Amino acid sequence: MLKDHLIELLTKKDKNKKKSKIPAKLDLFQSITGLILVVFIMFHLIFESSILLGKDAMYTLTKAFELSFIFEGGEPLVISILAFIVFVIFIVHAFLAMRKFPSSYRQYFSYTIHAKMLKHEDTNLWLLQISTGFIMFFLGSVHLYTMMSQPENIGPFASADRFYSDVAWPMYLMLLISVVLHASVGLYRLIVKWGWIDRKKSKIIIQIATVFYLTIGLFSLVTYMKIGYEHQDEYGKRYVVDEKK
Amino acid sequence: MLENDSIELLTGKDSNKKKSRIPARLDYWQSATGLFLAIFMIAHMLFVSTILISKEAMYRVTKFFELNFLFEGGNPWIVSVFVAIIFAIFVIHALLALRKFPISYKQYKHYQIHAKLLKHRDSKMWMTQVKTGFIMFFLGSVHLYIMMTQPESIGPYGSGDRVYSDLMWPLYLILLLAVEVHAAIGLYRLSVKWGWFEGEDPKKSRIKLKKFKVGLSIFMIALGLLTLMTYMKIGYEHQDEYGKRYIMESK
Repeated sequence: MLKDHLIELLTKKDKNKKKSKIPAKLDLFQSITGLILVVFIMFHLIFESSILLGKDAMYTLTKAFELSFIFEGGEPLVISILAFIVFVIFIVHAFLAMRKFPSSYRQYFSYTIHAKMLKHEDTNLWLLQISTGFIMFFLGSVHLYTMMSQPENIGPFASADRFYSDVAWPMYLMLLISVVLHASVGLYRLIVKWGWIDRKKSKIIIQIATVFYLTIGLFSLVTYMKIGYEHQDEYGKRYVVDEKK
Repeated sequence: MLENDSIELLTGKDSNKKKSRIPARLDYWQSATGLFLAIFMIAHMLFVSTILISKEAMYRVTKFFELNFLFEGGNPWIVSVFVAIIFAIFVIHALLALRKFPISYKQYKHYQIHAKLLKHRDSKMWMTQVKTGFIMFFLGSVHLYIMMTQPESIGPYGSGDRVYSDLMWPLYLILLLAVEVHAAIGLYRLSVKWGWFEGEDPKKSRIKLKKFKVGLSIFMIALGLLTLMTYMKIGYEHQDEYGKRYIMESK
């Protein structure tokens, strides 16, 4: 067993003279987990921006995700489970994507010189992925754990209280920018890597999407901030739908 | 400029035929930030465990850190600023220590085979550091961000509520194990790396250091578990009054 490993280590081929397929498999899983997270975040940001349509819209959506059509009044545990699954995919993706970090000084040095010599935008995108990915190690976890452990605190007032009174807004602001950039670049690189659509076309589409998501994200953030500011004296009180309307 | 850099990249030496000192400096800063965090964690654990003495003891320590001898009733902002500094050091240490991860499949394979060939416990510690470090990327941040933004909620009831009602206990449990193992191994490796406490016979002093490392981990984890259980109990009993703060019985 050890001998086989040694052969592979020295010759880069196993005893059947074949190269290991594990790195390729890891790449595939990195792509898949990344794609799942991109699709998830695209829906997530749209759902969360329902606050722009009013508190009722956001509240109805929250309850729908708590499966209020099955469980009377909604079951926040559904959100906990969903957040847990996303958290696991997030950690697996972080683990796999970390392989692409220029991890030593020497590797980083190689990267910067190559980037300078190549002068190609796509090479610079790599460092953007690493920087935003590194930021999300820390900030993504804060958000995900809170959602997983306190799913009942999602709603027009509860979320706004978190933004404003619990001072989550600086984290959300940095996370929004990081996640939108990382997801956009990631999706673009996936398209290029696996040859799905024309490179130039996909770049334009993705740039438009980036601006769109940053805009709705920032508007939602400001809206939650405003609600949270007005609601601070009643911190912790939950939203109730006005039936008479 | 680019030409000089290219020379360094290809030869490993700069235009004066000198090797770069940056990797050594990065190692030094990794050690320095790690040492600071390890010492901070030991002190932190002792302060948090004052809850084992009494609610009042923990409350007094909390208020002391809010500098209540300067500001009437204490100022939680002090804690925020302090946590922000710790958070920054934590992120820097993560960035520097990440360089030691066996980052690719190939590097990981190298590590595995060497560890098997060497059969030396210290090589295995490396992997423990990588694993516990990776866990703390995620869990350490959650704890630090909450402390930074909600320092006013620290206290016998505030912390009890957080551990129990806000369901922070699973995170604290994993974080406690990860941090105490990581810090003890880190201190041991620092001592070996820089030759502190080496004495006349490095072999003997290494055995002693190792014993100290294990002892430190066990002591800190035991203290941490007792403390966590105490906060759980307080949080459980306090759940109907969630959010209400502790007030010291005046004499």
